[in-house]
Amino acid sequence: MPDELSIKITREKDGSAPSLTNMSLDAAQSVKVFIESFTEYARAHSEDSHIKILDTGNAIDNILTLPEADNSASDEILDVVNSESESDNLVKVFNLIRKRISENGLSYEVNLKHQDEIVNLTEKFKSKRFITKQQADPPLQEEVVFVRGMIYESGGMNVTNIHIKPKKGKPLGISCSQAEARKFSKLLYSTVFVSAVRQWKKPKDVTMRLLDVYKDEEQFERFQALYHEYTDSESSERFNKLREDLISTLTKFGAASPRISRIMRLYNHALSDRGIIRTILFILKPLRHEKAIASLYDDLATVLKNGNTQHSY
Amino acid sequence: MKVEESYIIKNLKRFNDESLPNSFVALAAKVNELKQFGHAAILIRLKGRNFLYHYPSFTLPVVEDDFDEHGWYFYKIFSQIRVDDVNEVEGFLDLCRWICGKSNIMYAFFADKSNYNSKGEYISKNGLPELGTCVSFCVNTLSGFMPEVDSYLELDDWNSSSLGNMASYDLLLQEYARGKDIDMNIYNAFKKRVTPLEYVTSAFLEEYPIKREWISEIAPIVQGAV
Repeated sequence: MPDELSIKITREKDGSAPSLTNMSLDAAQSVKVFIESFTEYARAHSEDSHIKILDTGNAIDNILTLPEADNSASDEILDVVNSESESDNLVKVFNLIRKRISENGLSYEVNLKHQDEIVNLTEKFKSKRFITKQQADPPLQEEVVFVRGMIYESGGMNVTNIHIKPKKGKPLGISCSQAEARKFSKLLYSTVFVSAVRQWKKPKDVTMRLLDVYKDEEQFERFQALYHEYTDSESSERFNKLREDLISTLTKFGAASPRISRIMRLYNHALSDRGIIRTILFILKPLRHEKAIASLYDDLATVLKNGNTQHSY
Repeated sequence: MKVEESYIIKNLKRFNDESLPNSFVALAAKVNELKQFGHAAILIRLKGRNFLYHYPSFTLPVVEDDFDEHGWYFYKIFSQIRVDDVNEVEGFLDLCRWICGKSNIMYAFFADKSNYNSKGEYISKNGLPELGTCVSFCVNTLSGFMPEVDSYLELDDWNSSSLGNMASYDLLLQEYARGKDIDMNIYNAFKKRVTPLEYVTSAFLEEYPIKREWISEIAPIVQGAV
C-alpha cells in the first residue's frame, strides 16, 4: 500500500458531525484549501512522481496518495512538520493547511500512513507554524564593530557587561571579563573607545563581546582603518601587508609590542578571516610561548580548530 | 590510528580526474609508470586555479602558477586547511610564495628540526646550512601551518634506512661540503629520508606529530590505490 496523508474533518464548529449534504461554508472553505495545497504539493514534484489526490467520494476526507516506490515523500512531510525541511516551498504549502486547521474552529484529524504505520499528526498541525531547518537553526552571523560612547555601567553578577551609550543610536551591552569590567568601572561616565564582535543567529538574539579597548580616539581610528584595510579587501595583497606589518613590528619592538596583541584581538572571533589568522599564527609560531602573546595565540588557534569541521575529504 | 581502506581509496585522487572542490590544499606526489612515488609537492587549488608549491631539487623552491599535467600526480587533501575557504587557501598560498622567496635550501637527506624564525630566516640548530629534500621541504612548510605542535611529522622516528639507491645523491653534498664549512659528522647524525609515499600517506592521518609507525600501517593501502 502506498503511503498517504489524510485530513479528515471530524466536527463542525457547532459540534455536529460534518456531512456532505449539509456542509458549512467554513468546512467547504477548508476542503478548498486542502485540495489546493495538495495540488501545489504534487506540482512541486515531477510529473511521474505518482503523487495523487485521492477522490474518496467524500469531501470531508481529503487524501494525498504518495508514491509507492519509496518513503521519501512521507519522510519529506515528516521533515516539514518537525521543522527539519530545507524546502521553503514545501514549508509554505503545509503552513497553509496548518493555518486552516489551527485557526478556524472546526475539528480535524490528520494522519500520515508511513511504511504501513499510521502517524497521527493532528497536534502538529494545530500547533506552531512550521519553519525550515534554516529558520529553526540559522547559521551564526557576525560583524566587528567599533564603538565610541559614554560608558554608564560596568559589572554584573553572573554575566559581566559594560554598557555604552554611543553618540547616535541605542545603548549597547557588551560582555567582557571581570578584569576588564574592573578597569572600566574607573572610567564611568567618560567617553570610551572599543571594538567588539556582534554575533547572532536570529536578529533578535544579538550578543556583543568586547574585543579591544583603545586609549584614545586616534588609536581607535587607526585600528579601525587597519581592520577594514585587511578585512574588506579581497586581494591577497592584504596578507602581504599584514605580514610586513607584523614582521616590522616584531623587528622593532618584539612580541610584547601592544600592536601585535591589538591585531590579534581583532581577529579573535568565530567567523574571522581564516587567511588572516593563518598569516598571524604562521609568523608568530616561533614566538608562541612568549608571555605577551601566548594566550591570544592559543585563542586564535582555537578559532581555527573550531571552524574546521570537515571530514568528508 | 585507524584509517579505513575504503576511505583511503575514495580520497586518494589523481590529478585531474574528478571534479573536486574549488579551493583546497593537498599533499601530492608524482607517480611513475612502475607506480613508484617520486617527486613530492603541495598542490593548492584556489577558485579553480591550480598551483604547485615544491622544491624541484636542482633549483630553489617555487610556486608554479596554473599548474597542469596529465595524470601523474596523486594527492590527498590536507585536513587542516578548510576546503573551499577561499581566504584560508589564499592565505596559505601567499605564505608559500613568501617562503619561496626566503629559502636557500640545498638538496640533502637531512632534517634536524631546524626551522625558520618570524622573519622567515632559516635558523640552524646545528650550524649547517638549510638542507633538505622535496619531501622534507614540504614537511617543514606544513609544520609551520600546525599552530599547536612543533612539527607535522615526528622526525625522530625516521633515519637513513630508506635512502636505498638515493644514497648517490649524497655524494653531491659531500663534494660540496669539501669546499664549504659543512661538518659531515653532524650531517650524518641527522641524515634521514622521508619517502614521497610516506609523505602522501601522512595526509590520511590527523593526529600530530604523525608517527612513522602510523604511516607504515596504511602506506601499503595508499601504494595499492594508485
